[in-house]
Amino acid sequence: MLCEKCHARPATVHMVSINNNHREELHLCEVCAAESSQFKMAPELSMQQIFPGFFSTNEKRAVAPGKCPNCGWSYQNMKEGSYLGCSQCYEHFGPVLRPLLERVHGSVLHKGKTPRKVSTTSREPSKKLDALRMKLEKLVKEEKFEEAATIRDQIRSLEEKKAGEAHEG
Amino acid sequence: MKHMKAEANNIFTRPQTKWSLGAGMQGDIVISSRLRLARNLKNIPFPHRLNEAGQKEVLNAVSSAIPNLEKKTKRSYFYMTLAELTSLQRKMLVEKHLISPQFAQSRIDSALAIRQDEAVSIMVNEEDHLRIQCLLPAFSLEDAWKTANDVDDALAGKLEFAFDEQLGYLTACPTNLGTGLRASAMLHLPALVMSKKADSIFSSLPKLGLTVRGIYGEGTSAIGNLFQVSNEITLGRSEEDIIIHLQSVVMQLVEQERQARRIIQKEYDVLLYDNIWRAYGILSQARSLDAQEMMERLSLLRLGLDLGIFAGITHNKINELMIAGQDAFLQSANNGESNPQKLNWERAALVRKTLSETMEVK
Repeated sequence: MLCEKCHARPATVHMVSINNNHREELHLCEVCAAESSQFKMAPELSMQQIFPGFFSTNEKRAVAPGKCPNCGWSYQNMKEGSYLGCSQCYEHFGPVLRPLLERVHGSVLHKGKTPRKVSTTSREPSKKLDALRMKLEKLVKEEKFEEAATIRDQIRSLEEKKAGEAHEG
Repeated sequence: MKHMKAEANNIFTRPQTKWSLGAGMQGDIVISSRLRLARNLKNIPFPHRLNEAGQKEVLNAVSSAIPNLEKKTKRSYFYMTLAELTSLQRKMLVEKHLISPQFAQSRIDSALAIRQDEAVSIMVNEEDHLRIQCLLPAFSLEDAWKTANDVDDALAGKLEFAFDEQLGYLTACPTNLGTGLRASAMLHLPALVMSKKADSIFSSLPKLGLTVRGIYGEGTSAIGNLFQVSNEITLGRSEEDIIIHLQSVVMQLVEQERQARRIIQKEYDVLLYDNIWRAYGILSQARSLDAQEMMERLSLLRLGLDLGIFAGITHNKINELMIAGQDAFLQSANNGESNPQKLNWERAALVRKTLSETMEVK
């Protein structure tokens, strides 16, 4: 189907409206749809709307980080939309995102499953160690000592392994 | 993997789907259970940032992982790109709850894999690269989790998902971070609505980390006394914890609904019975019904069935009407007829026919 306006590009945007019991369909290409005011959707919620005051209060204190080196998503983009650009944005914008994540989820430590492919011996042992230490701290606080002991052993073996690698290196 | 051929499958002709068929725990109040996992491919920008080549790359990666999924889970899937579906077909998938309304309107290269029994659907290039959804009848969140988890594992054998030790699965919107898991139960709560208790109960849910949505998910309104209750928090809790927490709250809601039913039966029996019989009267005689009215009256018919006032019609048949009586399904069953007045006429005819074939009214 071709666009009903320019009759050149394929119609990819379809709208049905009902006026006085009459169903009207409109099929446009993306370019013409963008120009047509009928297709203007309600603006999507931005993070600022979801979490009022979050970015404004932190902005003065934190220096806004530059663009994500992987996808080029900027701090401004993130502020205006409710999305990040790619998985690496989480690392890049980590410091400014952390308080927001805490506010949304009440925690910033994943407790669920890990993907099958990523084995327990992580490619980034120090990060893994940090996560384990945080887990340990939490378990001790909750007085779950048996689980804590298992985590402590994991930390020890990772530390030994790391020390061993450093020796070899 | 079977590529979509309209005539090769009955997804678009059959007004029944996995969740609408079959019974299960608390099946009178919990209509269906849904579980979805958000997943993204490592280092590839999220769908909203992808150019055309990137969109295709994601589609290719996922479609080439489907045969392995079929082998590992011993189930077959239909694979279709959204581009090969008409807008009517997309709406039919929304009416079956197999895709989100947002995905149906996707303007980028997107695709969909649906398990043959329609219990699992995988949306490709929705808000995240993959949205794995399992939708089962009645109260079956654990089974839904097991199924979605197996699908996730099988896909992870071929696809490398974006994952961080601390933050878990990385998602386009930070509200899905961690487990990427959204579990929800669709509840039919007419007595809580009638006794005006629903609002106050729902307003207490955010404190428990839960939220209420309409029947087609985010941004849709509740019709026919149907509400979707789901978890908000995705990070810092294990999948099992999220599910157990939701289950316990859903059980409390079910109990409250049962209690409210007992109370209104006792205190307003004449009014309640009259309302239920009036709904039956309209459904069995009306010559024009819009979708909203049909949903509201069917809710009362379902309540009448639960309270033992009617016999003959089943919950499954009511579920079927809730799909077959929606605009896109009606339109498709009536040679594309799109005049709303004519559709209302056809909807009333469909409901009358179904009731006359099934109801045993004393």
